Amino acid sequence: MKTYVTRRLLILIPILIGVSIIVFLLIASIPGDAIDAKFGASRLPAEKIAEMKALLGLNQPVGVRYLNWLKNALHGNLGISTQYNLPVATVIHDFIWNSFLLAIVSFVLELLIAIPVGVLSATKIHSFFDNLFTVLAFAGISLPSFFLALLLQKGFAVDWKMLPMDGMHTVGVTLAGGAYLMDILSHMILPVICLTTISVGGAMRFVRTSMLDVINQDYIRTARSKGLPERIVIYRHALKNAAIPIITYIGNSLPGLFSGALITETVFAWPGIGKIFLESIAKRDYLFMMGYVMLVALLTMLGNLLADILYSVADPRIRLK
Amino acid sequence: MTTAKKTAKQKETQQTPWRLAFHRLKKNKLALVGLGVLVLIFLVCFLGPYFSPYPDVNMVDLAHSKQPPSPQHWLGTDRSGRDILSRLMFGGRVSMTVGAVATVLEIFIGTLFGCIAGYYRGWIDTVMMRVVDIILSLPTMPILIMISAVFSDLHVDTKIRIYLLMFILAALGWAGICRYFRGQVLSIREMEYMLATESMGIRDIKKIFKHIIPNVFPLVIVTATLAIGDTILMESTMSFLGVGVLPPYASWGNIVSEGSNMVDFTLHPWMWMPAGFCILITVLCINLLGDGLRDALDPRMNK
Amino acid sequence: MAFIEFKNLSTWFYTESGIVKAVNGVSFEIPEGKTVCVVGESGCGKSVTALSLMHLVQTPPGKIVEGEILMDGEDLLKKSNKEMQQISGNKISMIFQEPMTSLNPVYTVGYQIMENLLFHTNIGKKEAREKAIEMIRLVNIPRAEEIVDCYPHELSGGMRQRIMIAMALICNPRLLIADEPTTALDVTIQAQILDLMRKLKDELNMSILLITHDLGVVAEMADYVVVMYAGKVIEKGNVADIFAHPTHPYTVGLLKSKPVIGQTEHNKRLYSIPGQVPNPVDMPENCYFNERCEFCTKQCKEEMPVLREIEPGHSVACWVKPEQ
Repeated sequence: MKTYVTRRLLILIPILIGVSIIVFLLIASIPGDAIDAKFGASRLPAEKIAEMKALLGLNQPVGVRYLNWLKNALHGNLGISTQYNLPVATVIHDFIWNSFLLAIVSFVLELLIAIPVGVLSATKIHSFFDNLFTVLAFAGISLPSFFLALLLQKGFAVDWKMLPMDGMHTVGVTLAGGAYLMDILSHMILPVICLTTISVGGAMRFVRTSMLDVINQDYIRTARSKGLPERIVIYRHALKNAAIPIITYIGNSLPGLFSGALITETVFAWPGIGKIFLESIAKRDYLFMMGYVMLVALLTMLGNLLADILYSVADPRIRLK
Repeated sequence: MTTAKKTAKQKETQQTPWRLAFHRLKKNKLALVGLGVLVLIFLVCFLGPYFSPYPDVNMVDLAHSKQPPSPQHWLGTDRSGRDILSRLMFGGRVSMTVGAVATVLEIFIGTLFGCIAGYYRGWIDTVMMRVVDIILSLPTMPILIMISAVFSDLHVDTKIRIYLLMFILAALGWAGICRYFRGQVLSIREMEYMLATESMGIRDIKKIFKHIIPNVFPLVIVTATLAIGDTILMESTMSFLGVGVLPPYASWGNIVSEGSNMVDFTLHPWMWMPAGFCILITVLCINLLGDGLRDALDPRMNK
Repeated sequence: MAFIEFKNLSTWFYTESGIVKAVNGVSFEIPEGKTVCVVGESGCGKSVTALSLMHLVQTPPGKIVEGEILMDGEDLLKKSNKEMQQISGNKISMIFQEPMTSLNPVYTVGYQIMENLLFHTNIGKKEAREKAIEMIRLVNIPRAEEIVDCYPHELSGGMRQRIMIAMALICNPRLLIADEPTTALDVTIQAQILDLMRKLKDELNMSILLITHDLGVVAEMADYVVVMYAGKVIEKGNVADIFAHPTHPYTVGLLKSKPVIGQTEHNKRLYSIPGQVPNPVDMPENCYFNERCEFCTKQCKEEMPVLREIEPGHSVACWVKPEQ
């Protein structure tokens, strides 16, 4: 197990380097840089701009700039975000937990809905219930997040005025304690509904498929032949087997908890890392872009590794070597 | 031979895999509804404009801007007085074309590379799979948006950007398909009939095209169908963010975007809601059809 | 009164290509403490007969359209699922053909054996575990204390089938249904498993319904034999009668196609019944064996033969044979 994890972690290194080169080249091919974006329209003299660029090392060739970035990154220094004049790591730290809050709540909701519905769908395949949730699941999968977000805002915030339209706090009031939490909670509801709706369909289908794969196995027939009640056959014998792929699915979903939801956060003006990233593109804050993309790539790969480890824990037939 | 036997014989000859699949698909009501609606949307988008009284979709008519739905403009007009229904049809053309072309491209690249990697194995496979690993580790949406930012700064012509959009969607989409088909090819390769081709001395290319591609073809169809839906979603999201299909070209995503400013959003819902529902319904139908195809073509469902 | 009695059982499958009458008016009995073997080619409906008894036929596409299965005079088919749960695994147990896939891979074998006891009796976990170990020992597995905590994938096929038997017998059932229990096993293991079943049958005084296509197994195990063909019982009787004077041409063919050491000449080919099992969809009302039968008459092609007793306890369904 230990050697397996070490080996997998070692494989990550070349892939991460490959990813960083691609992203760095991409960013470098954007004409103009953070200084141009910030002062391009102002009347600053050209020498002054050049001086600032030199200070940030922007006048050097791409290769040198990449190696500098890599060297610093290996020391844990991801550079300075020109957008906030703060270290990239600090900016990420400041916003990532807002994203995590939204993501973890909707992820838990997603599982709470998807697992029972998926299991029921599989046990009553082609019934009215199954067909209804098949259509609903696909509708969720097919909904563009920006459109759903707009519909939710239009309905709940504009027309019925039940919930705040966007943001994380009510502007202009200072709240404390319980009132402060309730305020955040009310701002969370719509984005959480949005995130849950678009992700729950896929999860439901996944649980249904995993369950269907198991339900026709010989050992389910054996369990029935023992006279076990259907409830125990399904929830003890079938679900524990179906849980193996479901656990993998959960492992793979974990990076999404931290990477932020670009669209949902943007439409709801939720101060999460995804929204900040979109803004960083407009502001050509390329060290932040770089830091963000590398973070997401790293999380994705760690998620895959985690999924494989969980798989071996859940399935007694598999022992990692 | 008795008649009973004859009919039984006929039944057997009729049951080729494709016929069986078609037969099963016909019984799947959801998939059929999906297919029907899809054909309808397709016809409306591609033939509709010929019957529309507003053939010039970009003609600005400020005197009739922001009108609610009426007999003249069934779905109303937008800020520039353009007919929403006509723009939806043109937007649908763009969205569906981008989705379809990008998918065909990514399936082509993915299947080809996947088959090659799985077939030759060795160092070709290793190199290709590392490249695939890297691409799969890239977060799709952020990278797509960053690439678009490059295009914006290079002032690429908006029309050319539509083609480039198809290309970059495909460039990021092929890796998953490649890995999937490599696995399929590896398992097919191990089967005995491939050994038979080996012993007959059939050439590599011929083996790939004659024996491997036909075997993965049903999978290609299913994957492609579902991928078109995903691609349309991605395209519309990018267009909504203003980095996909750009005005004056209409796309369902940028129509929603144009109507999502504070005023139109609250007061003129006809300007953005229909386009959103178009995306939802189209992608939903594609997914239902794709799911039906998967069930129909899945040999495990044979019992 | 017989312990178990199948009366005119019909289980049909409604498939895309038509109705398959997998079991079509089957009647036979299982006396207390005896072994009944159901013999036939694959697809003749012998497994479905057993699954019907256990309420394990998948519905849809399968459906029991007619008939009764009586246990001590009570119709099992009329029992609700709840009532049936009290019976299966407790009074009637079943073991299956595929020991490799019939055990749940994510639970230890001990747990799977205990589960039966915990559900059907009131004993505690600790005691159940003791009984499970005892049962594993009874089916001749050494190191029972260790095996009880093993997962199925850690055991060989023969071991798993023994575990299946232990699981089936832990509640002292009155009937054990064994659906081709040795088909998937090596020949040496087969003999061990059959010996074990015979030994346990006497020790626990139960009946066995053994489903097989292997006449060697029948000769070794059976008290009574039921021969099935295309969903119908075509001959039944006690094992001595069937082997001594088989009557239905199909039974005769089956017995002829079994090699017997010393009696078959080396250069002579083993007999095989000509033709194939008919397509089971929408079959006409005639003798299903007529196309493969060398004695086929006009009547065989037009009318369905009925079971007739030709000597005490020996019945056959054939228009031609008993007269000759």
